[in-house]
Amino acid sequence: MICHRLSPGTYHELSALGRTPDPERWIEEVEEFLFVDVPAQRGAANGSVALLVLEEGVTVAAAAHRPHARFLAEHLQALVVPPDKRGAGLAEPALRAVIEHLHTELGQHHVIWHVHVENAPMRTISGRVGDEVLQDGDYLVFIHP
Amino acid sequence: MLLGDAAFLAGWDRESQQRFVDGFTEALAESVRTGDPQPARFFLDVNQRAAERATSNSPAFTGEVSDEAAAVLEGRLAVRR
Repeated sequence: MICHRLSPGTYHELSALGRTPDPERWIEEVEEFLFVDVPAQRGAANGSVALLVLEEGVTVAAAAHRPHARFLAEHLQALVVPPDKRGAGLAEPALRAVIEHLHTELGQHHVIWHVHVENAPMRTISGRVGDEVLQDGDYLVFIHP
Repeated sequence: MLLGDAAFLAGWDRESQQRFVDGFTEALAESVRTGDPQPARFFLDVNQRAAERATSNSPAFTGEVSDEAAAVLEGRLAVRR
Protein backbone atom coordinates (compact mmCIF):
# COMPACT_ATOMS: atom_id res chain seq x y z
CA MET A 1 0.00 0.00 0.00
CA ILE A 2 1.13 3.55 -0.67
CA CYS A 3 0.07 6.88 0.76
CA HIS A 4 -0.94 9.80 -1.41
CA ARG A 5 -1.03 13.25 0.12
CA LEU A 6 -4.07 15.36 -0.78
CA SER A 7 -4.16 19.10 -1.35
CA PRO A 8 -6.89 21.65 -2.12
CA GLY A 9 -6.84 20.56 -5.76
CA THR A 10 -7.44 16.91 -4.84
CA TYR A 11 -9.45 17.03 -1.60
CA HIS A 12 -12.53 16.16 -3.66
CA GLU A 13 -11.15 12.62 -3.94
CA LEU A 14 -12.26 12.14 -0.33
CA SER A 15 -15.89 12.25 -1.44
CA ALA A 16 -15.44 8.97 -3.32
CA LEU A 17 -14.93 7.08 -0.07
CA GLY A 18 -18.57 7.35 0.96
CA ARG A 19 -20.07 7.82 4.40
CA THR A 20 -21.18 5.20 6.87
CA PRO A 21 -24.98 4.81 6.82
CA ASP A 22 -26.60 5.31 10.23
CA PRO A 23 -23.22 5.59 11.99
CA GLU A 24 -22.34 5.40 15.66
CA ARG A 25 -21.71 8.86 17.09
CA TRP A 26 -17.93 8.45 17.19
CA ILE A 27 -17.83 7.11 13.59
CA GLU A 28 -19.83 10.11 12.38
CA GLU A 29 -17.48 12.36 14.34
CA VAL A 30 -14.33 10.99 12.71
CA GLU A 31 -15.88 11.06 9.23
CA GLU A 32 -16.94 14.69 9.71
CA PHE A 33 -13.44 15.51 10.87
CA LEU A 34 -11.72 13.78 7.97
CA PHE A 35 -14.13 14.68 5.18
CA VAL A 36 -15.04 18.24 6.25
CA ASP A 37 -12.74 19.72 8.88
CA VAL A 38 -9.48 18.54 7.35
CA PRO A 39 -10.08 19.90 3.81
CA ALA A 40 -11.48 23.07 5.38
CA GLN A 41 -8.54 23.21 7.79
CA ARG A 42 -10.90 24.13 10.65
CA GLY A 43 -10.55 23.63 14.37
CA ALA A 44 -8.27 20.75 15.34
CA ALA A 45 -7.69 20.11 11.63
CA ASN A 46 -5.80 23.39 11.20
CA GLY A 47 -2.47 22.24 9.81
CA SER A 48 -3.63 18.67 9.26
CA VAL A 49 -2.60 16.71 6.20
CA ALA A 50 -5.01 14.34 4.48
CA LEU A 51 -3.76 11.09 3.00
CA LEU A 52 -5.34 8.49 0.79
CA VAL A 53 -4.05 4.94 1.19
CA LEU A 54 -4.02 3.07 -2.09
CA GLU A 55 -3.58 -0.59 -2.90
CA GLU A 56 -3.01 -1.35 -6.59
CA GLY A 57 -4.48 2.02 -7.51
CA VAL A 58 -7.64 1.55 -5.43
CA THR A 59 -8.31 3.75 -2.40
CA VAL A 60 -8.68 1.55 0.66
CA ALA A 61 -8.40 4.13 3.44
CA ALA A 62 -8.02 7.79 4.25
CA ALA A 63 -6.13 9.36 7.12
CA ALA A 64 -5.25 12.70 8.63
CA HIS A 65 -2.19 13.72 10.63
CA ARG A 66 -0.28 16.70 11.91
CA PRO A 67 2.59 17.36 14.32
CA HIS A 68 1.41 16.68 17.86
CA ALA A 69 0.78 19.90 19.75
CA ARG A 70 2.49 18.76 22.93
CA PHE A 71 4.94 15.96 22.13
CA LEU A 72 7.67 15.47 19.56
CA ALA A 73 5.64 13.00 17.55
CA GLU A 74 3.27 12.94 14.64
CA HIS A 75 -0.35 12.82 15.69
CA LEU A 76 -2.41 10.43 13.60
CA GLN A 77 -5.81 12.05 14.04
CA ALA A 78 -8.03 9.82 11.95
CA LEU A 79 -7.98 6.67 9.87
CA VAL A 80 -11.06 5.54 7.99
CA VAL A 81 -11.68 2.54 5.77
CA PRO A 82 -14.61 3.19 3.40
CA PRO A 83 -17.82 1.39 4.39
CA ASP A 84 -17.82 -0.75 1.27
CA LYS A 85 -14.33 -2.06 2.05
CA ARG A 86 -14.69 -2.87 5.75
CA GLY A 87 -14.39 -6.43 6.94
CA ALA A 88 -11.72 -7.28 4.38
CA GLY A 89 -8.73 -6.96 6.68
CA LEU A 90 -7.58 -3.66 5.18
CA ALA A 91 -7.42 -1.53 8.32
CA GLU A 92 -4.26 -3.07 9.77
CA PRO A 93 -2.13 -2.85 6.61
CA ALA A 94 -3.51 0.64 6.03
CA LEU A 95 -2.49 1.71 9.52
CA ARG A 96 0.95 0.18 9.01
CA ALA A 97 1.27 1.95 5.64
CA VAL A 98 0.40 5.31 7.16
CA ILE A 99 2.85 4.87 10.02
CA GLU A 100 5.56 3.79 7.60
CA HIS A 101 4.80 6.83 5.47
CA LEU A 102 5.11 9.14 8.47
CA HIS A 103 8.39 7.55 9.51
CA THR A 104 9.89 7.51 6.03
CA GLU A 105 8.53 10.65 4.37
CA LEU A 106 8.45 12.94 7.38
CA GLY A 107 11.26 11.48 9.41
CA GLN A 108 8.92 11.27 12.38
CA HIS A 109 10.28 8.79 14.89
CA HIS A 110 7.10 8.49 16.94
CA VAL A 111 3.46 8.33 15.95
CA ILE A 112 0.67 8.73 18.50
CA TRP A 113 -3.02 8.08 18.07
CA HIS A 114 -6.22 7.73 20.10
CA VAL A 115 -8.85 4.99 19.72
CA HIS A 116 -12.33 5.25 21.20
CA VAL A 117 -12.92 2.51 23.77
CA GLU A 118 -16.03 1.36 21.85
CA ASN A 119 -14.05 0.88 18.61
CA ALA A 120 -13.19 -2.77 19.26
CA PRO A 121 -11.74 -3.58 15.81
CA MET A 122 -9.41 -0.59 15.87
CA ARG A 123 -8.38 -1.37 19.45
CA THR A 124 -7.30 -4.83 18.38
CA ILE A 125 -5.49 -3.62 15.29
CA SER A 126 -3.78 -0.78 17.12
CA GLY A 127 -2.57 -3.23 19.75
CA ARG A 128 -0.91 -5.31 17.06
CA VAL A 129 0.68 -2.32 15.36
CA GLY A 130 1.64 -0.13 18.30
CA ASP A 131 1.85 0.00 22.08
CA GLU A 132 -1.23 0.74 24.15
CA VAL A 133 0.21 3.22 26.62
CA LEU A 134 -2.84 4.15 28.67
CA GLN A 135 -6.56 4.91 28.72
CA ASP A 136 -7.40 8.59 29.00
CA GLY A 137 -11.13 9.16 29.44
CA ASP A 138 -13.00 7.44 26.62
CA TYR A 139 -9.89 6.92 24.54
CA LEU A 140 -6.96 4.53 24.48
CA VAL A 141 -3.64 6.11 23.55
CA PHE A 142 -1.26 4.19 21.30
CA ILE A 143 2.30 4.97 20.27
CA HIS A 144 4.53 3.56 17.55
CA PRO A 145 7.24 2.64 18.22
CA MET B 1 -20.04 27.29 -13.39
CA LEU B 2 -22.21 27.78 -10.31
CA LEU B 3 -20.28 27.16 -7.12
CA GLY B 4 -22.40 28.45 -4.25
CA ASP B 5 -22.57 31.09 -1.57
CA ALA B 6 -19.28 32.22 -0.02
CA ALA B 7 -20.84 34.73 2.40
CA PHE B 8 -19.66 32.64 5.35
CA LEU B 9 -16.17 34.02 4.76
CA ALA B 10 -17.18 37.43 6.05
CA GLY B 11 -17.21 36.20 9.65
CA TRP B 12 -13.77 34.63 9.53
CA ASP B 13 -10.50 36.06 10.79
CA ARG B 14 -8.01 37.26 8.22
CA GLU B 15 -5.76 34.23 8.52
CA SER B 16 -8.65 31.86 7.88
CA GLN B 17 -9.82 33.96 4.96
CA GLN B 18 -6.38 33.89 3.40
CA ARG B 19 -6.12 30.17 3.92
CA PHE B 20 -9.43 29.76 2.13
CA VAL B 21 -8.35 31.99 -0.75
CA ASP B 22 -5.11 30.06 -1.18
CA GLY B 23 -6.90 26.72 -1.09
CA PHE B 24 -9.73 27.80 -3.34
CA THR B 25 -7.26 29.20 -5.86
CA GLU B 26 -5.62 25.81 -6.07
CA ALA B 27 -8.92 23.95 -6.27
CA LEU B 28 -10.24 26.32 -8.94
CA ALA B 29 -7.04 25.95 -10.95
CA GLU B 30 -7.48 22.19 -10.87
CA SER B 31 -11.09 22.52 -12.00
CA VAL B 32 -10.07 24.76 -14.86
CA ARG B 33 -7.23 22.46 -15.81
CA THR B 34 -9.38 19.36 -15.90
CA GLY B 35 -12.66 20.92 -16.96
CA ASP B 36 -14.24 19.31 -13.91
CA PRO B 37 -16.05 21.61 -11.45
CA GLN B 38 -15.77 19.05 -8.66
CA PRO B 39 -12.49 20.21 -7.08
CA ALA B 40 -13.70 23.80 -6.68
CA ARG B 41 -17.24 22.81 -5.73
CA PHE B 42 -16.06 20.30 -3.12
CA PHE B 43 -13.68 22.82 -1.58
CA LEU B 44 -16.40 25.44 -1.31
CA ASP B 45 -18.93 22.93 0.04
CA VAL B 46 -16.71 21.62 2.84
CA ASN B 47 -15.73 25.11 3.91
CA GLN B 48 -19.35 26.18 3.98
CA ARG B 49 -20.29 23.08 5.96
CA ALA B 50 -17.41 23.55 8.38
CA ALA B 51 -18.50 27.16 8.95
CA GLU B 52 -22.05 26.06 9.80
CA ARG B 53 -21.19 23.92 12.79
CA ALA B 54 -18.87 23.69 15.74
CA THR B 55 -15.80 21.59 15.13
CA SER B 56 -15.14 18.63 17.37
CA ASN B 57 -12.80 19.00 20.32
CA SER B 58 -12.34 15.26 20.69
CA PRO B 59 -8.90 14.44 22.07
CA ALA B 60 -8.50 12.03 19.15
CA PHE B 61 -8.29 15.11 16.95
CA THR B 62 -6.81 17.73 19.30
CA GLY B 63 -4.27 15.43 20.95
CA GLU B 64 -5.14 16.87 24.34
CA VAL B 65 -4.52 14.56 27.25
CA SER B 66 -5.16 14.77 30.96
CA ASP B 67 -2.34 15.77 33.28
CA GLU B 68 -2.14 12.20 34.50
CA ALA B 69 -1.87 10.88 30.96
CA ALA B 70 0.69 13.53 30.06
CA ALA B 71 2.91 12.42 32.91
CA VAL B 72 2.88 8.87 31.58
CA LEU B 73 3.44 9.93 27.98
CA GLU B 74 6.38 12.13 28.95
CA GLY B 75 8.14 8.93 29.95
CA ARG B 76 7.95 7.82 26.32
CA LEU B 77 7.95 11.01 24.28
CA ALA B 78 9.95 14.22 24.34
CA VAL B 79 7.89 17.32 25.00
CA ARG B 80 7.68 19.95 22.28
CA ARG B 81 9.22 23.24 23.44
